[in-house]
Amino acid sequence: MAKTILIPTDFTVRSLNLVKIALQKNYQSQEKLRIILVHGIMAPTSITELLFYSKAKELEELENAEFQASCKLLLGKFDEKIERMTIDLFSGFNQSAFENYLDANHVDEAYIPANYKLKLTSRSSFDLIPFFSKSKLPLTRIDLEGLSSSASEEREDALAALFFTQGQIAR
Amino acid sequence: MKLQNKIVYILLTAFLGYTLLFSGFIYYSISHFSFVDFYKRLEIRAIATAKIELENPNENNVVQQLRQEYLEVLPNESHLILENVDKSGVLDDPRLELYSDSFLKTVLAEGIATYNSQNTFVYGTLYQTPDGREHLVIFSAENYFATHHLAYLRNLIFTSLAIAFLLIVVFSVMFSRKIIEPIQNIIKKTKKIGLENLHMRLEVPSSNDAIRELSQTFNDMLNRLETSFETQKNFISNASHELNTPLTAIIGEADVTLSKLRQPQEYIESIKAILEDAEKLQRKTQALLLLAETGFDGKRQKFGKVRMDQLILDVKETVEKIQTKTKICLDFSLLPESPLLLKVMGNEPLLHLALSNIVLNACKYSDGKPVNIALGVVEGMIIVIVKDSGIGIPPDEMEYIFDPYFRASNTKNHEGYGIGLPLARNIIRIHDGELRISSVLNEGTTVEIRLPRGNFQL
Repeated sequence: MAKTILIPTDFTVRSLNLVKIALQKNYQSQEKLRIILVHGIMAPTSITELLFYSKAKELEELENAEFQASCKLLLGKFDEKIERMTIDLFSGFNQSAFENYLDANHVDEAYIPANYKLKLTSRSSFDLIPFFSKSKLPLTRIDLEGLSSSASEEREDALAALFFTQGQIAR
Repeated sequence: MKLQNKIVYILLTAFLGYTLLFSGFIYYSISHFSFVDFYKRLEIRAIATAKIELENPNENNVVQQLRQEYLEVLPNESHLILENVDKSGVLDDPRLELYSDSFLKTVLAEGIATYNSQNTFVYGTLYQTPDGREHLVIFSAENYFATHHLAYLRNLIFTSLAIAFLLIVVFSVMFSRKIIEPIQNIIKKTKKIGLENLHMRLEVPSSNDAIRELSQTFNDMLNRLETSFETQKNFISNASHELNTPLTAIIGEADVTLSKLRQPQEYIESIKAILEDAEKLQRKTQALLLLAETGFDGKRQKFGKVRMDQLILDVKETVEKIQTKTKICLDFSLLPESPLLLKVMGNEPLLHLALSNIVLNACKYSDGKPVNIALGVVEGMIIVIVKDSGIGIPPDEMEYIFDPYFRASNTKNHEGYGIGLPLARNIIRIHDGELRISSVLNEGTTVEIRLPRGNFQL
C-alpha cells in the first residue's frame, strides 16, 4: 500500500526541502510514497491557446536545471522509498475544484510551508496555500525559514538550498 | 623547409604531374589516331587509282566515278605507278629517288609500307592485277589534319597547362594557409605562456578535429604543470602563515618566563603552555606536509578509486588540525544508498589538496562561524557543496577570483597569497570536474564542486 503526499512547489530548490522532510519523516514506515508536487497556475483563456496547450511544455518552461538536479538528487537518495514522484499543475478556481483534485489523486497527506511565501514563478501562477489550509487533509506545517541555517538572503534556486537544514542532519 | 611551402610543393607536384600525364596521353592518342586514319585514306586512294589505271585504262568505270565523286582530293596529292616491277632491279629506277630506301625495301618485302617525312605522308603497296602481274603503287599527300589540327591541339594543351598551373598555385597557397592558420595561432598563443602567466589557456575550437585535440592536450599539460608548481607555492604560503602564530606564542611565552626568577609552579605552567603550542605546531606541520606531499613524491598523478565521503572526512580532520578554531558541520543526509555512486576516478592526494584548500579558505574567511560541507549525487555527477557564512566576495571581483595571486579587496585582514583557489580549480579540471562559486558580500560563499562519477563495478 502506498501513501500519496501532496506538496506545493514554486520550482525553487528551497521548496523541495518539504519533500526531503516528508521523506525523512516517513523513512521508517513500511509504506512506499507517491509524491505529487503541485503548482497553481491559471489555464490560458483564449481558445487558440487552449487548443495548443500542453502541460509538459508548460512544466518545461517552469522548471530550471537546478530544480531538476535537486529532484534527481532526492530520487537518488530515496529511491527505495519513492514509488513515484510527479510534478503537476493545478488550475482550478475554487475550493471544491481543489477538493476534487485531492479526491481524484487519492491524496492522503500534505506538507505545506508554515511561514515561507511560495514564489509565484510565472505571471499566471497563484498561491495554493489557502486551498490547502481550508481542506480537511491532514496537514503538516514545516517552518522553512527556521530550517535554513542562514536566513533568507540566499539564492533559493541554488542546489545548496537543499542542504544544511538544521535539526534534520541525520543518517 | 616551412610546412606551408612543403604543402604547396606537394600539391603542385601531384596536380601538375596528373595534368601533364593526362594531356600528354590525349595528345599522343589523337596524333596516333590521325596518322592511322590518314594512311587508311591514302590506301583507299592508292588502290582506287591502281584499279583505274591498271585494270581498265580506257573505260569510264564505276570505280573512277566513285573516286571522283566521293574521295576528296588531298593537298599536294601525287601518285606513282610502276607497272610489272621486277623486285630485284626496281630500286635503281630513277623515279624512286624521292622515297627513302628502307620504305621501298619494306614495300617489296611485305607488300605494304608507310612513312612520313615532315608533313608529306607516303603509302606504298604492291598491287596485283588479275593477270598475276605485280605493280608498285606509291601514293603520297600532305596531312592537313596533322599540320593544322594537331598544332592547334598542342597550343591548346600548353595554354590550359599554364592556366592550370596558375590555378593550382593559387589554390595550394590558399589551402596550405587555411591548414596552417590554426596551428600558427596555437604557436603564437603558446609562446605567450610562460612561468609568470601559467594560468593562461589555449582556446579550444568547436570543430572536432586534430587541432582541437592538440589544444586540449596542451591545456591538459598546462593544467598539470600549473598544479605541480602551485602545490609547492601553496605549501610555502600556508606554512609561512600557519606556523608563525604558534612559534610566536612559544617564543613570547619563553621570553616572558625567562625575564625574571619565578616559582616552580609558574615554570611548570609556562612549560605546559609551550608544550601545548609546540604540539599544535607539530600537528600543523604534519597536516601541511600531507597536503604538500603531492608536489614531491615521484608517483604522483596516478588515478584510482576515491570515495568522496571518506575524502571529506579526511579533509575535515586535516583542516581542523590547521585551523584549530573552526567548526565544520557535515551534511550527509542526501547520500545515496549505494556506495558505488560515491566513487570518483581520481588522484586522492590531489583531490584532498583541492578540497582542503576550499575548506581552509571557507574557515579562514568566516572567523570561527561554522562551515558546512554537503555531499550529494545527481545523475553520475558527485556534488560537494562547501558553504560558509564568512565575508563573501564582492560581486564585481567574482571574475578574477581564479587568477593566481588575486585577492579580493575585502581580505585585507586575512593573510594569504591567492594561490589556493586557482590550484583547487586546476585539480578539479584535471579530473574533468567543474567548480562553481556563488557569493553574497558579507553573508557567505557557496562553492559547488561537481566531479564525474567513476564507472566502477561492485
